[in-house]
Amino acid sequence: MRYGLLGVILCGCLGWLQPAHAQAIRLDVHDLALREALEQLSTQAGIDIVFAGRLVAPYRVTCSYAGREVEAAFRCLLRGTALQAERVRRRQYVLVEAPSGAAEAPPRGLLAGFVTDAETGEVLPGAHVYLPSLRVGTATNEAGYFALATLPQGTYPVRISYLGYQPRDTVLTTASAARAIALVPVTYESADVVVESRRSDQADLNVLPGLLALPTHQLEQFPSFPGEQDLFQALQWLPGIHRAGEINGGLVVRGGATDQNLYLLDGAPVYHPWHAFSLISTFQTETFKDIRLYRGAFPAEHGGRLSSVLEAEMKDGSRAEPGAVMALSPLSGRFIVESPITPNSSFMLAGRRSYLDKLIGQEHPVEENGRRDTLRTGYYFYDLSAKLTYRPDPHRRLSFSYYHGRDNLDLRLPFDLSLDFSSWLRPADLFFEIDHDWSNQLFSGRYQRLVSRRFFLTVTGYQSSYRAAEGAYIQPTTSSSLTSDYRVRLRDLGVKVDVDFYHSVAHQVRLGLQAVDHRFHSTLDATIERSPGAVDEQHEVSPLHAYEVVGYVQDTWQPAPRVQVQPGLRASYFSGGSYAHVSPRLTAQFAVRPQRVVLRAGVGTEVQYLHRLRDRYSFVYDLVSSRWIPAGPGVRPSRSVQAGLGVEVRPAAGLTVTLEAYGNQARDVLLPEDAYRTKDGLEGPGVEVGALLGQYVPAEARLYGVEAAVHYGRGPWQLWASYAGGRSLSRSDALGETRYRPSRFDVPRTLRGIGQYREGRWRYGVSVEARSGYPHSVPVSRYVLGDPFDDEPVAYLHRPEVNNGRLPPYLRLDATVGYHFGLLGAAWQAQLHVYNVLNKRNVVGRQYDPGYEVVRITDRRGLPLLPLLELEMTL
Amino acid sequence: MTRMLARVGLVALVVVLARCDTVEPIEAEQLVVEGFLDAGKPMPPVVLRQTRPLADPYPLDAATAVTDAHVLLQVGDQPVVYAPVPGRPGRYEPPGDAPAVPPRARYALTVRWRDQEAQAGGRVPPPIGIDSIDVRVPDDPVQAVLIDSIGATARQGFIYPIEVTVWWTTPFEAVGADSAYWVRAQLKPVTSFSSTVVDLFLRTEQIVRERTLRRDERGRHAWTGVYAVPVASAAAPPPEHSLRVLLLRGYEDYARFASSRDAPERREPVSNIDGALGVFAGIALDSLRVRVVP
Repeated sequence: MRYGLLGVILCGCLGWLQPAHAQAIRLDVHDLALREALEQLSTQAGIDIVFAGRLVAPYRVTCSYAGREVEAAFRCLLRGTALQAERVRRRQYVLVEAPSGAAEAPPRGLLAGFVTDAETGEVLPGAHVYLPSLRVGTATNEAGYFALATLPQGTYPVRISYLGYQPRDTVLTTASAARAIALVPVTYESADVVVESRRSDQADLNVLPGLLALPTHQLEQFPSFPGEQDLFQALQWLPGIHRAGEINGGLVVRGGATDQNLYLLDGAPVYHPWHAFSLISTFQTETFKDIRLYRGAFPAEHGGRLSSVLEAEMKDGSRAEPGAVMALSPLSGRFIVESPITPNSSFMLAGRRSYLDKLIGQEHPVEENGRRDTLRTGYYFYDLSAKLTYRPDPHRRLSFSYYHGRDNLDLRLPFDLSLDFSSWLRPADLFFEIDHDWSNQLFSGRYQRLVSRRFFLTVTGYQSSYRAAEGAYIQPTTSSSLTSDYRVRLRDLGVKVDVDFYHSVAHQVRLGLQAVDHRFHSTLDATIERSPGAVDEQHEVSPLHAYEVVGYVQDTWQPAPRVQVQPGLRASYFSGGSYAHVSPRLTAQFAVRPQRVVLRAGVGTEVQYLHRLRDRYSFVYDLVSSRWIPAGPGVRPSRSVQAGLGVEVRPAAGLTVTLEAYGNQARDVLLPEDAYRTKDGLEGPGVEVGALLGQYVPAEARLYGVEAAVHYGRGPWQLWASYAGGRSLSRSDALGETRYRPSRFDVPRTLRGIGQYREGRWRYGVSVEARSGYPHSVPVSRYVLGDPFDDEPVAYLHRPEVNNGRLPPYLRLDATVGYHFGLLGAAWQAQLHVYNVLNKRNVVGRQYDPGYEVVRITDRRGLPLLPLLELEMTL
Repeated sequence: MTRMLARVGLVALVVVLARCDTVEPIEAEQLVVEGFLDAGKPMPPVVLRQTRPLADPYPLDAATAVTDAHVLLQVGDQPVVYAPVPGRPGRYEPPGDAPAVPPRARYALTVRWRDQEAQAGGRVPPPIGIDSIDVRVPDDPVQAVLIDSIGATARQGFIYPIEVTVWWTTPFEAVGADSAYWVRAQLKPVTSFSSTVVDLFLRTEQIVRERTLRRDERGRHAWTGVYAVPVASAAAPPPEHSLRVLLLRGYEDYARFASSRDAPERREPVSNIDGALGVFAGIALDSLRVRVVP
């Protein structure tokens, strides 16, 4: 029913094909200046008439017309002049000089070009292109291409702008070929420059409700723990985004589950974007040229998740000159090299590796009484990103992207660890070995071609694979042991074809088709020897396969200079369970005062065919890996209806205020069947899908809230402040829940602020986060209960509902001091980041120990004050 | 007017932003029911208590007992109104000589207290009986890590891991080969041993579907558990000690209760009673006590 209603709304908005209701026009002018006569027509007909003053100045007109036809009124007014009116789009006309041949149709032209970075030659997706004379605009696509079709032939002044770049005014001619237009980036060092996304009479055309699109150099300025350049650490300072833990864990976007986010790297999905046990992400901020986070209003080309889509595009590599960055942070060292290869090609290569294992050593040969052993203390992670871009001509572009990230934990240690190495650096009879290894590997190829000036083709092919292996050998006694080997593999093979069709000034259509082959494979081989006569074995294999086909269409429609509407439709078929869904969506934008106040709204439906689940019983498997389960006969895909409404206000230069409200109703999301169960044993139900699904139940989720954000950037100051208020609730019929209760990541209020000040070589920053504590199941009473096996009853705490209470509010203040200097021909930056300056040990967990007399409460505290130093060198 | 609306909106916004977090809910006392219908045994007592606030202690006396409830238990076709036992607050028993609980009988319990009504129902499983047990003690103790967690406090000691196998016969002709019964087996040695890591590898208790357990050539079900007895040195002989072996058969409601009651710091047991906390379930229990003399 709801989807039907949405369809009706969508169809209604697609009613642009029908002519607008014509207004009565009555013109009776005698020897009147043409300009004044046109103003009368404009007022009476409710249309926008664009003309150059020099064209109309020579003419005075006499005309008498009564009727409803705008074209007839124009003919009456322009009779005897060398001018004619041409319709640009609905309710907008432009006056041009009439062609010499009276019978020939007025020729139409197209303005097109590529927008690039003046320093590196990188194309700039999402740049804003605006024609002030016609008050029409557009945005560049992923290849930096834009086109404005069906314009009257001529030459037009054009303003190009992009957040973080100096706007550029230029002149383009409809007859010329697509031209490259370079924008000069603005650096924060150049004080007194206000960095704004646009300086035109039109709002950003590519901004959807909930979209976060910040330039990477701005994200790099955000505080990041533990001093690493990390995208997810930076994103968590933005409104509506949290981490599941204090400093680690998945991203929680507007209260959604951590598996409801889609992470795209050059068009390919990354299924486990984490290093160091979810402390940092695999996304290095400085390797990207464009990052977009859609929160709730996805364009039709994106889908497959309910909460958000993060789209990151790797740098092509500088086309101008070679460059390199090297840096050392508390956890890792990293580098980025980018360079032109030939005038038509360039590359970017980036790497990062942790160095803890190099400091403490990976292997430790030990010997005692002639007995030898090798203890191991190895942990490392690394990333390798590479991109090669080839542009044989301005109309074609071919790029290959590669990413490989891996974590490896290799331990062989005795149980009696202490800081006194000499006490345990010896051969041990009782020890444990842990060998965990997980990695993402991604190949992506993209071919972009300007087929004609009105058709742009993009073909993307990719393979994304995720592998995890958890091996363990534990020997706590000389007669008992555990040997386990758990492996998870996921491989996606996909191809995606996008076509941008520049129909007219008013309509740009994107059509697309995507096919993905998903393969999942999990194995478990475990042997638990409790005693020679009590041996448990578990050997299981779970192979799964599904394919997904998606088609989508989206129109970017500008019916009037200040209005943009994006109706879209996404149809998908998933072979697991033979599910087919049509997901309509609609976004709209209205510039109340184009430079000051912009309203945005969006509504749409989403479907998610993959669920990430984790075994909730056993220590032996599913500890650090992600296990994705496709929808099938036993598990339905999750579906949601979401809506958002926002307003952006720019009351003064450098000051931007945004206010957004959102709502999301989802069904068939999976919740743990037993919320209180935690991994507490060696045995589990195994890796069979049914055994895993048996630990979860379908549920409904309801998310809603408001977000307010303020950004002030002027001179040496940069200030961001945000407030997010919302709820994340869930309810499961299978659990007998009759009303919604707070979900695991329900955070009603979050207040964040970042302030930065630059003075000469120094940069100072302060950041603060204050939020509600995470939900928590709080006992409200106590009782005792016996059992036939026990002599005495046991005391228990009664928790009437899951998540009926909340941990204490969270407050943290960080400080940063940075210093730029030159040394050995390189630019250096040293940065000291002090985490938790106030040393406030926030409560991040709470346990209640029942007894007959008193209930003892034990709090788990967050991290104390930590100084973190980072050093970066740029060549 | 617009200014006034703006002021009202501002005040409303401040109220919304400044409102308190969810407060911890406070509940009235709830009824707690405890009782187990053991197949073939006399009708059991029903113990009724009430919850107390966290700040108050929980003495096992009249302060926590429910003494004014109405208790009705129907087993098969026979309804029995329970009566409070004088001098034992909270305990209710059938008047006179309690009849035996017939195996496989249906039962229904209703308790009314103040404005609360609690109900439980189900079936009584067939009896279970231990046929025999086999206790295997190794010749020598084994080295074991004696710790509560990995770290500096870890130390090593010696234990005898003792393996016990329990056999019992299931009347398949009566209950069917694919029964819905669960079995809970437990070894309770009278020794004190605790090591978080080693405890994971011992098996002193297990709750498992009966049909998934192995059977021997005589059709008997078998379950093997392992417990540990600590000793002082590698040369120490195994100490003589007593061991209690318990074997229980029940349905899923009891299995859910029993498997959720071993972590009181984290959770409370899953209740099978509508309208109250606690458990009232049909079981079949057998146990034996042996003296382990190596």
